[in-house]
Amino acid sequence: MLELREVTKSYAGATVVAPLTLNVAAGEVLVLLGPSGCGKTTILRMIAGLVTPASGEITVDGLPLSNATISHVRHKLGYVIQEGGLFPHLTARANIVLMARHVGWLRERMERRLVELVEMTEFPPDALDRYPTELSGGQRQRVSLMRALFLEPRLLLLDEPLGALDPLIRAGLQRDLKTAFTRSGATVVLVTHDLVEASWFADRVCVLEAGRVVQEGPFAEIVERPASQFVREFVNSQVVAS
Amino acid sequence: MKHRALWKLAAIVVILLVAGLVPAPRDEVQLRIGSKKFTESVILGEVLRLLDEQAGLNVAHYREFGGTRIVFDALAAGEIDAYPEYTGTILGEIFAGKEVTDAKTMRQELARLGIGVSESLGFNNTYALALTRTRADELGVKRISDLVRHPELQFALTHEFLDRADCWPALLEAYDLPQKKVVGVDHDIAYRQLISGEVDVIDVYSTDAVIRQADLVLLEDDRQVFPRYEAVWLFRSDTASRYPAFRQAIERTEGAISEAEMQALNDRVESRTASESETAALFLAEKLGVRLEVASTSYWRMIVRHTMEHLDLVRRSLLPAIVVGVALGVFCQRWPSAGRGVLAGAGLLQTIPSLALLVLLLPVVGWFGYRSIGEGSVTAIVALFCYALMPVVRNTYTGLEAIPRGVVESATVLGLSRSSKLAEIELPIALPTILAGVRTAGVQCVGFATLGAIIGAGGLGQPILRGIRVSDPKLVLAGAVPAALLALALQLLLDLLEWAVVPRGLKRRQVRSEL
Repeated sequence: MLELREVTKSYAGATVVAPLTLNVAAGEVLVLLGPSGCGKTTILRMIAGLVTPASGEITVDGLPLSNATISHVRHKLGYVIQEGGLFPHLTARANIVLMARHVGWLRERMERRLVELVEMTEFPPDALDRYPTELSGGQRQRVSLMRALFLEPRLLLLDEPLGALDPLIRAGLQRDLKTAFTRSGATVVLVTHDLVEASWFADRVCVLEAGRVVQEGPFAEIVERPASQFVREFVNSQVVAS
Repeated sequence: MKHRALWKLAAIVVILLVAGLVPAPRDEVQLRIGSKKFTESVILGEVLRLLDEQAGLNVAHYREFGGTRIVFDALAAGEIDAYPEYTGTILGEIFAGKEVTDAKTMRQELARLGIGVSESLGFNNTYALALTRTRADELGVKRISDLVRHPELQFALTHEFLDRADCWPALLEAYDLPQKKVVGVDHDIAYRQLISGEVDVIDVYSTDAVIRQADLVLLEDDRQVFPRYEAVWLFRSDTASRYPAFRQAIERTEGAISEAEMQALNDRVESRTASESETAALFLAEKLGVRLEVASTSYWRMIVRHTMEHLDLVRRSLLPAIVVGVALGVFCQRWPSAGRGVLAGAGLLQTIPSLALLVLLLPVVGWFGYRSIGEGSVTAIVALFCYALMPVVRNTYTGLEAIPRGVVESATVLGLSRSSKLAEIELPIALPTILAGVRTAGVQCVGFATLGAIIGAGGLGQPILRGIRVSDPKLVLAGAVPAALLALALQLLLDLLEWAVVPRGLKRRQVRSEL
């Protein structure tokens, strides 16, 4: 479904992403795990077409990313970032249905889809007419998720979606996200530095160090058989902390 | 449906441009008379206007819209058809540095510009030395040469008079004056010192209203040192041949006004006994037997008229500035390297002193074939536009820059096109900041528009200028108070607009209810 071939990126001479090759199967949940500055967010932004790779190729559903194809590819993408990225001048509802309106969905269809998503994300329906500033952090991330899922994307990209939330809300949203992944059947790439999140979501984990994949496999394998000193330390630091 | 935001944006742009660019309907005039920014010039302008009007011509008088350069250039460019001038000024200022020294070459040079010169109106408004009548009688002086006998006299002279080669230095040489007590002071102070007896002799213009007010005696320039400043009409020859009645009106004023009469007319206006129009009408009735009704406009009607002119200036500069300013702001944000140039340029425009900008723009606007002076002057509008631009550009830029990157990128990844993203996401989010810029621009614009009067564009600056000229605080207030109220009203209006169009989500950073 998603393929990265020999993709690199550097900023001002510093390598951010070393040649990276990655395949993600349809319906798979891949977690890019690593400390900040390891290049995981850059990888996600390259897939979203926000950053152009220095070399290499990214293919989504067999379609190589380029200026010509990007708008077509984006219709299959859902994108959720840490702070939600909600449009502050629009209500939650308007945020969620914005693109559906643009592609010409009828009112009934939009309503049906909205009801579906509100139920799935356990979002209070009466909060739909509030503006982002009037919502709690958890509610904002739910709106962001509904917006990303609305047009039934084939590929969902999430950058630290739970990063800005406090633990209690986090647990609830984590559960709802998982439901959403399963029910939508979308391929998911999720970026995090958090082992608990990785363990909760991942079919497969890629551990990144300084722009390089240092270990790749199921979560249990990462924890039980760290491939390097770096991975061991990264894992231990969080185990000790929690 | 899909492009609703784009259509809305386009509609706003069209509405602003149409509302901003459509000129207000005006009476078509056949003749335009100008005057310089001092009482005598305005009175003479009114005299000619009334005579033309009585002859059935449709005539406008652009009062006190500038100094010699501006008014003469307006005549040469055909923006006005006549104005009162002085021969000394024509030779000394207009043709300064050129080999034009006598009346004949002056006429020839002016004719080459399509400008005709009338005969003298009958008075010479030149420099003169003045004493109080009592002192003059006491000393028995009538002519400047009489002063030689009184070396003890104290002189207070204006700096200009002391500096000009054809004034004090020429006088010293021609009359061999022995006085040692000579100080340079301002005209007003010299005049007050003369009345109080602190000094004996001051310099004046020979038609100053103060001469009559304080009963001063002018000394005869018996060796003819002072240059002649005969009052004449400068007029466009083509207009004179097109409207014979206009030419006749000019002829009727030739030789009609003596120095003493001009002093009296100036005095009437400066002592606030009568307006310039009434004074001019009185003169015509007494001297030329022309009886006409001068519609005296009431104080309030005058304020309303100038307020409307003022609003027109603001409308025609501010509205287009909003459209262009927002467009430039977007440009600056999209192309930062080129944008820095635009921001610097707009900033530079703001630093040009307003008066300088107006004068610099005059020939440019004229060159494009637009009316550069008078009511609805494009010069004033362009200048105000330049000033209004900067706050809008800067705030649009700042407002767009302040949008969190995540918000813009979310819009991008959602698949919104560049134009939809701008119309639907970015501009609406930046709206409060943009409106704040518009508010700044608007309030500034209302203030700056008072300067429009300097080039005859009308507005509330006109009563202010006149009030300063005849030292009438009531007139100054008639301009200043409505201008301040207009600024307040505009601010209020924009606050209301903001309240109405800015969605709740952008208004407050409010405490959120945690789930």
